[in-house]
Amino acid sequence: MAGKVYSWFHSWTLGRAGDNIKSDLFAYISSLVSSGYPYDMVQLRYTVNGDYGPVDSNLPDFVKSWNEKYLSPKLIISTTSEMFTTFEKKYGSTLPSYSSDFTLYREDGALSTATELALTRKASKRLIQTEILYSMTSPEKYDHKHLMKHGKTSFFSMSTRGVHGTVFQTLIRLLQLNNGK
Amino acid sequence: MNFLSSATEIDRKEFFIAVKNGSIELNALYAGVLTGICRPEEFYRLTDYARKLAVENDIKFSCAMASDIPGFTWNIVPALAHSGIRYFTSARILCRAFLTQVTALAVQIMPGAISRFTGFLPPDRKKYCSGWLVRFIPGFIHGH
Repeated sequence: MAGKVYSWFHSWTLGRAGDNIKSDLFAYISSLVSSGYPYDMVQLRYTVNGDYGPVDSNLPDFVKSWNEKYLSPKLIISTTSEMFTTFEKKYGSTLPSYSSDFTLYREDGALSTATELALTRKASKRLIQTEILYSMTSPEKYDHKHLMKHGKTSFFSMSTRGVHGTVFQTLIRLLQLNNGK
Repeated sequence: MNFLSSATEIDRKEFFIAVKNGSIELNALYAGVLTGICRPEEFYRLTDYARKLAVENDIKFSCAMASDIPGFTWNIVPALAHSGIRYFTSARILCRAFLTQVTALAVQIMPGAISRFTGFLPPDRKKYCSGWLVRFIPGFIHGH
């Protein structure tokens, strides 16, 4: 979402899509315009009940009534590929290209469970070695369930692990420093 | 909870009919992982489940989606590209450096309020903290 964090819509979910989001939407569009956002479409993700929540059953009626009431912005309920395909057709040839680091930081939270992290990484390595051995010695006996085990080891790298240490401890320490502690 | 593992056969059929007619889209990443601790092989395994579903149900994946992750290593790009994923959408959470800057500013402006607020927060509810900070200083996330 251009200029917004993923959780921007959380405040909407208190009452679900309705007039409560009108001022937020208009303010957002105004900020895009004033900052020179060069495209005529922008994606907004929206679920209810917080992160990874379900869809809002009020959304279709809300979008319909919004588009009947306002000329702009026009709201479209779309899938990711529909949005991207449309965007690429319109702007793909003129999109600027950048290369740099997309800085991450939450990985340091993994140290909060260093032993488990080491175990998981070892398990992952052994799975890879097992698959290589299968392919070299008896590929016909290869067990496809191994594929899903890789998925399970990946779960241990889920993004919110250790977030207390990596985010909250930073903030709390900042507050302590501010109070001279 | 995996819907497909507990769905009835009828539910499964209806679900994939909706996927095929475009009413529902499945995105290729099964989990939102910290790419900085992924092994190289694991990058290519992140889309294993998508490939499995694609083969079993004759569907295609063109997008990957992540949410609530502050950043990615560059490996995610070739890993997705090699898996046939053309589009990647990432809705980021606030970067920590920026969050601490804003917190420092907030502390200066209203130290009592933010101390009470952070004291009230359960340790795992960081999202409300970032959301509150967004509202605390309107417009600060613009351009982030």
